[in-house]
Order: sequence, then C-alpha cells, then structure tokens
Amino acid sequence: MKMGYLRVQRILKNRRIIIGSILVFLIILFTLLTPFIFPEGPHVMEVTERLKAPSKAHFLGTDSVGRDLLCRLLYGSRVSVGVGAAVAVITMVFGLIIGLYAGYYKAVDNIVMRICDSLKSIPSILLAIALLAIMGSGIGNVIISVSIVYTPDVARIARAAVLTAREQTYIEALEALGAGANRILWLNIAPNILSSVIIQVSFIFATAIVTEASLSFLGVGVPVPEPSWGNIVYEGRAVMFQAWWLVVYPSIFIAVTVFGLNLLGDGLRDLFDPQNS
Amino acid sequence: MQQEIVLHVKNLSTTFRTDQGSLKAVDGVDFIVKKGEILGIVGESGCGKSVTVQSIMRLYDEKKTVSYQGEIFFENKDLLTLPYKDMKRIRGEKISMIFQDALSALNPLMKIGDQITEAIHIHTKADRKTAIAQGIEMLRQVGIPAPEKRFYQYPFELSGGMRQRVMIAIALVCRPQLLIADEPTTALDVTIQAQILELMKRLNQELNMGIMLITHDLAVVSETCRRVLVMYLGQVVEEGTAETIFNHPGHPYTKSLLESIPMIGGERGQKLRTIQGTVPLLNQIPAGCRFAPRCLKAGERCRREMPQLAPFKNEHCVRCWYPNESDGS
Amino acid sequence: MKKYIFKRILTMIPVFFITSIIIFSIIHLTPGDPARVILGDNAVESEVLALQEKMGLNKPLPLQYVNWLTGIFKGNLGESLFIDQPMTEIIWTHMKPTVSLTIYALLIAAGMGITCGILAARYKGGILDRIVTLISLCGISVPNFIVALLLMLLLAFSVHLFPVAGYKPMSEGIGIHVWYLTLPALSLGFIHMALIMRMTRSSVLEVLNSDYIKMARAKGVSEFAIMTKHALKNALLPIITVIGQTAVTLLAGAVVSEAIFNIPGIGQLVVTSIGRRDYMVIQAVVLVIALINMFMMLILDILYAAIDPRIRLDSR
Repeated sequence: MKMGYLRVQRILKNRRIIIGSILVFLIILFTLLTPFIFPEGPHVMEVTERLKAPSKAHFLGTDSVGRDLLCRLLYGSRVSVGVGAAVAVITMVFGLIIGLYAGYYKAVDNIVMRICDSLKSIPSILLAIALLAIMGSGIGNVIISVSIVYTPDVARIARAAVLTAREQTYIEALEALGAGANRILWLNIAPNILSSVIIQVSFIFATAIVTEASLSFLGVGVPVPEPSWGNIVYEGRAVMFQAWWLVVYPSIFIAVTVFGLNLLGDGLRDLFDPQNS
Repeated sequence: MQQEIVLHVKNLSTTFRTDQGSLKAVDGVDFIVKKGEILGIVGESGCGKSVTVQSIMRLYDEKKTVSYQGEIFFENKDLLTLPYKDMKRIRGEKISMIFQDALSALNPLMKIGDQITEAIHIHTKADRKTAIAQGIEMLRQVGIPAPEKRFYQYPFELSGGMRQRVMIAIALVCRPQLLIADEPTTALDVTIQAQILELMKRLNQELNMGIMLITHDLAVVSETCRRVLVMYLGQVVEEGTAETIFNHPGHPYTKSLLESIPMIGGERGQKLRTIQGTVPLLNQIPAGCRFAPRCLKAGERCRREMPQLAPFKNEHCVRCWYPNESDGS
Repeated sequence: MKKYIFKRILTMIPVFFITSIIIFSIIHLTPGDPARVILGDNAVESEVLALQEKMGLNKPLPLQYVNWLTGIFKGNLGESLFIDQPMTEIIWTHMKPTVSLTIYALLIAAGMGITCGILAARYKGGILDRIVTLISLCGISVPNFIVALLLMLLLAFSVHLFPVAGYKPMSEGIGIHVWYLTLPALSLGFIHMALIMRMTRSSVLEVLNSDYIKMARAKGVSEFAIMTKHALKNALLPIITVIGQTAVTLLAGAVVSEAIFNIPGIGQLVVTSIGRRDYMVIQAVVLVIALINMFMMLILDILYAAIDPRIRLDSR
C-alpha cells in the first residue's frame, strides 16, 4: 500500500508526466470526437471560400479548394496519431519478441542483432522512403515501413535489458530449478524489462508521427486527399506565401503532439529509471 | 610535548543553499592540527566530516551553493578570506587532499606521470626533466614497483591499491604541510588498507606533515591516530587522544559507536549493539542536543538546550550534559 | 592502436554484407515483378520482357545478387532507367550540394550545440541554461520540415534576409553558395543542435561533478585549466558518438530540406526517382549512404580510441 502511495506521490510531483499526459489525452480525445464535431467529413469543398484567413466561420481558415483547415487537421490527427500508435504497438510487440529471444539465445542473438545493426546503418528516413518507394504509398504501407525502421531500436533496448536481467540471481535460481526458457522469458523477464521498453516506445510514438509527417510531406506517405498532418502541410506549401495558416497551424498540431509525447517519455524515464535521466 | 600548530579551525560553519532552503552541514566546528601528527575525524556518513575538510580547501562553488562562517588559520592567514588566486597557490602545494575512490579521482584520460607533474608545474618553476624525475621519485617513495614504467601508464591499468598510492604521490609531490585524507582506505580490501595506512604513517614521519584522516572506520583510527575528533550532525561531539576516546568515551554517541564494533575475542553470544534510529536529515535538526532523539540517556534538559563542547578531563572535551563518568566498561 | 583499427575493420565486413542483402531484398523480394511495377499496369508484354532482360531479372535471385555485388566492387552501381549516365556520375553530381549542406548544418549543430551546452553547464541555473533547456525541449519536438517552412516564412518572405529557395554551386563564389545554403542548413541543423546541446550540458555537468575535477582543484589547477585540460576531453567523449550519428542523420535528413528549398542534391534525386519509379537509382543511393555511414562510424570509433586509452589499450 505504502509503495503504491509513494508511486502516486512521485507521479504527481513529476510535472513532465502531468503536462505530457494532459496533452496526449487532449489530442486523443479530439481525435475520437472529430466525427461528432465535423459530421460532414474532411472533404467538403466550398469554392467561394478558397484561401480564407482564420475567421469565425472557419477558425483556422480554409485551403486552396475551400476546405476547412480545422476540420482537415482534426481528421488528419486520426491518421497521424493512428499511424503513430499503430507503429508504437507493432514495434513494441515485435521488438519485445526479438529482443527477448536474442537476449536469451546466443545463436539467435548473433544473427538477429547483425540484421538490426545493418538496418540501422541505413538512416531511418531514407530506409522508410526506399521501402515506400517499392511498396507504394498508403496508410498501411506507411505503418509497415515505419515499423520496420524502428523495430530494431526496441529490440536492442529489450535485448540489453534481458542481458542484465539474466545476470540476476533469481533467474539463475529458476534455471537451476529447471524452469523452461519460455516460462522464464515471458513470466519472469518480460515484466521486468517492460518499463524500459515502454519508455523507448513512447519516444518511437513521437518519432513515428514526425516520420509519417515527413514522408507525407515528401509525397510518398499518406496520399491526398485523405488528410494527414504531413500532407496538409504538403498541399499548403504551394500557397504558403498567400496563406501562412496552412503551414503554421498544422505545424503547431505536430509540434504540440510530439512535445507532449516526448514529455511523457522523459517523465516515465525519470519515474522508472532515475539514474538514466 | 609542544608542537607547532599547522591548521587552526575556529567556529567553522558551512551552509548550503538548496531548493529546500539553506542547510547547515557544518555548525561551529573548532579544532587544531599540529605538525607531524595524524588527527582522526570519525562519524557516520552524513555527519559533516567530508564537508568540513572540503571547506578547508574551499572546494565548493562559493558563488551559488555555499557560504562559510568562522575562520581557518593556516600560516597566520585566514583561508576563508583569502582571494581565489592565493587559495589556488595553497591547494596542492601547502595543503593537499586525497579521496576515497582513486579510480574516480584520477583523470581516466591522462597518464599517471602527467597527473603528478601537473602539480609540480603549477607550484614550482621546475623544468620538464626535473619534474619527471621528481614524479618518478615520488612514485618510488609511495612504494610503487617499477615507477619508470607506471609513470607512463593510465590509471585503469593499475590495481586499486596502486591507484591509491598514485593518488597519495600526487598529493605529496609538492611536500605539503597538511594532507587531508578523505576516507582513503574505505574502497580497499583489508590487506591493502593496512598497507596504505602503514604508508601514510611512514610518510607522516618522514615528511613531518600534519595529516587529517577522515573515516567512519574506528579500527583505522585506533591504529593510526594520536588525537581523534568525533563528529555528529555537523558538530564536534567529542575530542581527545585516541587512547582516552577508545577506553573512556565521554559522549554517549562515541560509546555507542564503539559498542557497535564486533570484537574478535568478544564474548560469544553477546549481542552486538547498534545505535537506534538513523542520522536525521539536515533540515530536521533537533532543538536541543542533536543526539538526544537517539540517545538512551537523554533527559528533559537534553531535548531543550544544546550542550557546549566543554573540557572534561585533560585534553578531553565532550559535548554532553551528562558525560560518561565511568571507565567505559 | 593498429590492432584496434584492424579489428574494427573486420567487424565491418559482416555488417556490409547483411546491409547489402537487405538493400537488395527491398527491391527484389517485394511482391510483384519490379519490371511490371516500373512500367505500370498497361505495359506491353514485350517491353516488360525487355526490361527484365536489361535489369537481369530473368536470372535466379542469388545470381542477381552476386552480379550486383561484384558490380559494386568494380565501381558499377547499376544503371538508371531514365538518366543516360553512369550511376556513379549521377550520384557524384547530386552528392555535391548535399555534402555542402550537410557539412554546413553539422557545423551549425555541433558548433552552436557544444558551445551553448558547455556554457549552460558552466553557468548552471543561469539565464543561458534555461534558454538552452527550453530550446532543446522545443527543438526535439519540431520536425525539420516545419522549421524549414517557418524559417522560410520568417527570414525569406517577411524579412528578405535570405533567398526563398534555390541553389548556387561553389563555382559561383563561396559567399553566394553559403548564403543560399544558410536557411536549409539552419533548418536541418536546428534539431540536432538542440540534441547536442542537451547531451553536452549533461555530459559536462557529470564530468564537473566528478572526483577527478575535485582532485584537480585540490591540486591547485586553475578553473580555466580544469575546463580545458581535464573536463572538456572527458566530456567530449560521449559527444563524439552523437556527432557521428548526427552527421549521418543530417545526410539523410537533407532529403527533406532539399525538397523544400529546391536544391538539386541527393534528396531531390531520390524524390524524382520515386516519381519515375527508377528503383535502380534509389537502390544505389541507399547503398552509398549506408556505406558513408559505415565509414563514418569507423572513423569515429578510431577517433574515440585515440582519445580514450581504455578502449585503445584494451584490445591488446
């Protein structure tokens, strides 16, 4: 009981976690509420309302074909945050599995970690571009390619954590008792390394949103007209000297989200792993 | 036996400014160090031993974190009012310091020789060749075999005991009048510990300098020091010769410290006593005697009024309202 | 030291082979026939066959890989399907602006980052320290294309300090070359400047709190010498690694900056090649950058070993 209480105290004292989770919560809330705020969807064009500056009718202005920017940004957050979340989940699952077995079996380790090293020797954005160039653009392909790019990061963290956990006496004791490898890995080691994996994944969530935005901005990510924060900037860029809001507001959306996630990650690291912050 | 006084600390207080307000880590400490003697300072962790000696060297950031009160006389000058330029000249040349963990106290990227000669170059006008010769000689003096080879090696290539010797060599290369040794043997295993203490005793006689030996290990003190200060929560609670302190402790704190040492040849089955409670935090200092909350003998007066460090018997001072009269059974 | 370098080069060999296999598989193992994908859905069968022949797709995969790999060792990176030039020449011409941009951005990131980081640590809690912490928090959260667009709006459109976009090669004068590259380099380097700042600050702080700095002070070493002789070298060790990774990330990140500022570099080559489905170019570019990355890491590790005796001497 006391420990739980102390944990809660520490969380409340940690301003980064508080601010970070509030930001992330708000964004997720808006993302979920979007269909109720704008039931007509993100594709409604009003030709008479082209490139209108922010006003009461259109809070954040309109784009070059007269679509409401706020509406598109909110629908875009479904795509951008969705891609980020999907990548976070996929990298966590695969990274954890790969890291666990690589940390436990020397033979697997040699092969898998060489592959991870090699994947990491190609800069992430370039690898994602190359993968998308071959697979073609689209939300699903963005998720797959970005996940491939970031899974090695999680795998490495998980593997390192397994290697330290294995040194511990109780794991040796379990091995001596004849517990099976799978049992030790999933029931004893996995729960212990989860915190470091989650911290890494929260950063990947943020990075994935940035990567998706960059890819869509280059025109290889989520294809228009489906809105994502990246391709809204991509479309806005052509007219940005007449309509600054088409670039500035999406930028703010991306920055605030990523900022919130990074704060949350930092805070989590402080909480679980005080020496490493 | 009248000896020359090397260092005279008068009513020294060291206050740290922190986020939780200011904390007085050292509160009104007085003592002297004589030439050629080894003075032991003992106490639990957090009692202000290290802060006291680092205040003498003025190693803390005076602009932001720390302020000193009192006086520290060395060669008829008050170190606390000395300008930075002059203080720098005293450090390493007149007063030197060695630390607990030689591995972290030696710069990992510098050869041992360079770390020794650095002090020579700062404080003397010796040329490179003389400095190197002096450095190698110093390494030989602290008992390092093949000093010509060690001189050009890096700290990580040496064993723990060797590193400790290197650190002593660095500290002594300018022949200081006072050596401050902050837990010099704590990180070492017992046999090496004895060797290092033996070395310090030998150098103490050879070079006729004063040594301040800070430790929490009473056995170390009893082996090496003539005089001992016992500190508790930033104050000196007892001062006297090692002989008196060990055989006739006056302060209940000293007495409990002694009782918590396991003795070879002690009675079998006898329970080892510990001091109840832990050292309070600096922002929760009790009002009266600072040891009162943990003291078995504490009375009403102890909780209300702070006792002064008062002469008890000759050369023996105790800070207690009810100093132990017994012969320390 | 020689032994260390030799050992380090040996470890590169497996990484190079696996990387080359990965790059090869990206193009050849994806579902569908590359030739068909390149030519589109309504291609004539004879054209597809001809392209398959040209790309060597009709041979078994391992043979294709071996041919490609031996080609690389002979300096033949494949053939572009659209540009009638040797691949090395295509990459070389496009590499020049990218390298200029990367070096400029790296100078900004490392120069500003290290300086501000050291000052922030030295005067901890001061105004500069707070500004550095704030910038690094913001910098880490903002993608570089956003920085680029905002800088463009502010410094090129509202205030006409810099050109909006475009590129002037070095041959037209170093001044104008640098002037045109300033905004792209700033936007590219900004985030990394923030990262390096943060790293430097914490690394210097850690070193300044270490016992050997206290020991040096107790020896009578002056504050200036403590900073330059004792603290800096130790504090720079972890930063070297970060700078190396930064250089490579910048090289890849240049793709985005080049697209925004219309610089005819590697990034633009990649983007146009994607549009034209010129996979051979993409494959070659990825390989070249991965190679540059590997050599960069090699140089860094050697540098690291040169500074840190613990690494250099441990390999004996």
